[in-house]
Amino acid sequence: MPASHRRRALGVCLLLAATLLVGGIDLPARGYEAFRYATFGFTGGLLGILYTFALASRGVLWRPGGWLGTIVLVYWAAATGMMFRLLLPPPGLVQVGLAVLAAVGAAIIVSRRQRESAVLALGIVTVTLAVIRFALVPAFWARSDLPNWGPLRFGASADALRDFFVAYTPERPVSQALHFLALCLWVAALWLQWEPPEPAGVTQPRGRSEPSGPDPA
Amino acid sequence: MASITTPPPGSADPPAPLEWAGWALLVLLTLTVVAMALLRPTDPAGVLSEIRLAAGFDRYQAAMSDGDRIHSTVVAELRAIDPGDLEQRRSLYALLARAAERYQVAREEAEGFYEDQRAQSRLARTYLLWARSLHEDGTGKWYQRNDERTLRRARQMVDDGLALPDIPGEQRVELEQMGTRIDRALTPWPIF
Repeated sequence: MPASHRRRALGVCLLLAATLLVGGIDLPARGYEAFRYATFGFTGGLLGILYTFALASRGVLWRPGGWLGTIVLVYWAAATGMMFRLLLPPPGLVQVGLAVLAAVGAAIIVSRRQRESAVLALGIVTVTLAVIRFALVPAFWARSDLPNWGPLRFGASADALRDFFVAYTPERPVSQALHFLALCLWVAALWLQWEPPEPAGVTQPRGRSEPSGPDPA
Repeated sequence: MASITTPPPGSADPPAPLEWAGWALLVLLTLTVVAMALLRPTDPAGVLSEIRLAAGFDRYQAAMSDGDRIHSTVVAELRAIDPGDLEQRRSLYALLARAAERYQVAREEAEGFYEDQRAQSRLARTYLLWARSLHEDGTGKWYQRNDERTLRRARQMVDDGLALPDIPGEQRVELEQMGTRIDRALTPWPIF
């Protein structure tokens, strides 16, 4: 295997491993925990695999040959799963709807002809999830509280109802910066392998690149 | 005449030392992620204590320090949380169990009577705090029935504390007074 391929793969894997490390750290606003580490769940993991397949089939993700290609894909799937853990709201009915929408987004990515279009579709999915997770859910949570009036515990009932939609747990503001850093590392990994190293003697014109996967038509 | 040949770009060549360092860093990062996912640390001091306990360096002091840290965290949290939030209180009892476990480790590692007595005293303090909190959980308003299961657990905590052989006298008295209060709460008609 060429050394340039090996080094490129190493750089990508390092950035994705850093994504996994930084993205898993939560800083709860309440409770005794200074921090906690959480991996992606079943939903996030499945979405990670789905998006890795979709992006690899459109040639967005570069896959070197041999065992190194398998390792790179495993890191991509894990880091993408972690990305969805950060972007999806906490468990509840809202998460169900958004996870289904994200899966539909993967189908849209597969239908794109150009790599740039596929990445743009991924960006739209990401921004949509982020707006709901970081803007809509906290606002909904802050404005849907009820007081307890003596024996009439409206507050507890409101909490139970809200948990059915989204079991939100507030976090410290710096947590968002940390999670944004994790997303930046994921994007840096994507950027690092955007122009894959070419084998010796092969030249390819720069410009709008075609997918290396099967023709969607 | 010797000719200088340069290998074509992209050809296979052995990894440079810097590349080996990169692979080693990748393995280290991956192992850190796996360790964080499995051990689920919640505090940097806790991570250091785990390392000290695992390394076997001054295990007695490491266990005592970690037990003290967890105990003081629970004391602060019990003051901060809503007394009716039983779920949160249960998570704090899990922490108290960890503190008690740490003090047991300290007892096993103690060298001499003084160190063992110090660990026992901290253990009794933890049991007393636990029993007091369980007593609060198990007793409600005058018109509410006491939760006997919780109170019996509280009584068990007191008994565990009293079973420690070398705790100071005032701690033993405190535990006995707590036990009397729990027994009264467990009796259906305390007036008899």
